[in-house]
Amino acid sequence: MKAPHAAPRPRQKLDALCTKGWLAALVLLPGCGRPGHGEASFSEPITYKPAGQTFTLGKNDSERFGVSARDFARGTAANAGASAAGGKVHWETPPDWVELSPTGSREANFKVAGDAKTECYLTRLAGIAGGLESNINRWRAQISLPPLSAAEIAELPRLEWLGAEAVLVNFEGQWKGMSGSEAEEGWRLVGLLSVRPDESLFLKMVGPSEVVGANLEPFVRLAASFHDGSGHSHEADTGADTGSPTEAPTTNAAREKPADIALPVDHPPITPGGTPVPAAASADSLHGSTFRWTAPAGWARGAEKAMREVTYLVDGAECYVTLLGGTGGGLLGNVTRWCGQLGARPLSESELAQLQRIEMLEGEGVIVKILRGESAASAPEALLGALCVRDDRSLFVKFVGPDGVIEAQRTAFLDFCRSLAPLQ
Amino acid sequence: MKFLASIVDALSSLWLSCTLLVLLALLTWLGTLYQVDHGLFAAQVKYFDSLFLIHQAGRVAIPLPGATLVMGILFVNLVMGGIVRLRKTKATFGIFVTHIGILMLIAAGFVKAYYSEDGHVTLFEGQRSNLFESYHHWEVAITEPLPSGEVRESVAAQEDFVAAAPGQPAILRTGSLPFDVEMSRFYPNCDVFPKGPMVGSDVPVVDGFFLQARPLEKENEQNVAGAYVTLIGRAGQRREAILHGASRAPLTVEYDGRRFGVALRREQWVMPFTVALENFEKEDHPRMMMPKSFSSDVVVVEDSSERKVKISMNEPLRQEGLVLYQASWGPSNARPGDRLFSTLAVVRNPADQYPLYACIVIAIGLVMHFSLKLKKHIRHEAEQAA
Repeated sequence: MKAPHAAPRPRQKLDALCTKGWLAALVLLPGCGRPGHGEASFSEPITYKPAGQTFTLGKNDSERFGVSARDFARGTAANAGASAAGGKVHWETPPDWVELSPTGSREANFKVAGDAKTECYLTRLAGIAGGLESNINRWRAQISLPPLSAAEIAELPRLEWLGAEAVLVNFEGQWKGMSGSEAEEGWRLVGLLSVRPDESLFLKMVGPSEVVGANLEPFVRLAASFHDGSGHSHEADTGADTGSPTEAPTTNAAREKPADIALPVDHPPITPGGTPVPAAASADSLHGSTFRWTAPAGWARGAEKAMREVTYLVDGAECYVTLLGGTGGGLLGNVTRWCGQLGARPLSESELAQLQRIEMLEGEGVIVKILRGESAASAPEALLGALCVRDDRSLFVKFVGPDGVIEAQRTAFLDFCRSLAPLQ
Repeated sequence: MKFLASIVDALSSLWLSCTLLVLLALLTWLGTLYQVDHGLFAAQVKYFDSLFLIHQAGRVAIPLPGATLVMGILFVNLVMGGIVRLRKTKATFGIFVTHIGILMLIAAGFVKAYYSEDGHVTLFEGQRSNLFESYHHWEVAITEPLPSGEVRESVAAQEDFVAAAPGQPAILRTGSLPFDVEMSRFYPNCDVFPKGPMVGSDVPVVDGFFLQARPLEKENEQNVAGAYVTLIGRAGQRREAILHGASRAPLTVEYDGRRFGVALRREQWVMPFTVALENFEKEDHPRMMMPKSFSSDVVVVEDSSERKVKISMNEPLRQEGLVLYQASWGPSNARPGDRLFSTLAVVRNPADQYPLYACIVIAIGLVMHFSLKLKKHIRHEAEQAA
């Protein structure tokens, strides 16, 4: 901040000039370069009264960076609806995604957490915006695929989206970008196109195949969350929790696969190239929506969080379920990691073999209890965990809190683990 | 002495003038081509703000003098050849004046380049501000709100931390404040992400967030900087934090019962008056979304006085050494009826009027010179006719 009388810029620019030329640095203007690191000083303070601005302090990191504490905690997101076009379209940003400012014709704009290349955005254009066929084939050209015929386009899966029919596309190839100047191998484009006489909407996610594949579920949830503010909401009801899909709509299935955006009943999971394959062969199948369980008495359901199937709270302890693809790091790897989190000595393979086993998910679950070590003063006092590791997917149930509570709830915890079962 | 004389001869030669003018034309051409792929700011920095540069022509690297060096030598050449060594006669007086005008023009460019401030103030209708911010430069600001509603602020300029990296941190001393700032990493363009359980990160994660560097955007205005900082209290207590240029609020810290906001932001300046946007008007070409014209009705508030001004594309507001131009508007995807904002470019250029004065001087010099030539020609014709 500079007051009207202050003028540090000339010096900065002259310094920059110095650093740009060895001749100047050596002969003309010696000693004036600033290396851009090392020691420097802040300017002398100035005092002024900002006009029309409120200087806000006390915001936490989530609020500062645009992911609200509530949304970040429950793993769903920041936007409760403000859109570039004056709130005409509302949405909920998926967990770990970051909402960006609208740019150009992008009314909603997102980055997927941890990957700078992958982006997802909603575009709304007046009229038919070139039509369905030309837009699909334009997208195919962007990813180096030949155009589809009208008959082939007619065979693409249809969904209901924002009160109208939308076409679901799923392409993989070399990404050439909007201008054709890029060349990214192994990219994937998943999108929804809803072409209508009055206006057309396009939701598009594009990025490296593995990243897009891992984010299909958030994409579906995002698409389902779009609504036009007229009461035509696409969000699933999130009523009271009983933990059973047959008792109330609070199961994962209700939460994560809203009916109006879900794939057609007989449509297999989305796979690259638009060719359906059996679910068992797909690593991208939408997991997390295929379990039911019975919550123990006295356990209160906690806020939803990223990567957790469900969270329960009891007497200051927290229990949560995480589902990962494949072996999820394996049995020994996860137990060792948990030991590390509590500052405890890692278990050997022979110690691991002696741990208690229970029936779980039509297979075997390993029960482990870890007490906090001396090197982790801030960790929970105890961790009681259940690990069900399989080749295709693995489930982890973690119960952390005061040791007294953990022991008192041990039976309830084991019952809870045994109650976890795949939905039919 | 002979050597010195030969240098003076070289510096004042017409040959050098021509060479420099050809170089300027070449740099302009190459810079324009470079701009296509790298954007205006990068082209300006490489070809025009530099003393030397390497132009890459395919695989061939061609060293060239930068426009700053060329203009500097041209200034010396004009002084030596057009002022000092020019024969001061009645016949050359117009040329002498013209050279003075050209030197004024170059001086105006120097002042603009090194002694001006330029940025913008962007307002929605009903908003007001007495601050304008840079398009390109960043600063770290430490702000302390005061009970009077004022704020007390200290800043560190981008040049002090732009090279901060692991192993070569920038230590920014605050002097009278109860903490210093150590910047361990600075990214000119980056995103800030929450660290999910399945997200890998090869950079530090601070309170669940991390910065991910991005390639520089072609248009420098679109780059958003970020930095990892550690605030070090006078008692040695350390607090790590992330600063990001797109943050909605500053980082809040408390030392000795005083609260401070720490932010990485575009360089800002205080204007000696407040601008309030009352109304923004945009007129489109018929049946097109392309604007034909746009203007801002603003109220300029200074002390207790107010005055209404219309700022349009060719009618800027000049006040207190600042010039406010109608620069742009947005959002670009706005629909009829949407709320629009107006962006006013703000320039403080001490040499604002120099080009006008220089052109007048050049015109006078040329008129004098051509008048003499015309007079001489008429006299010659008359003599021949006689």
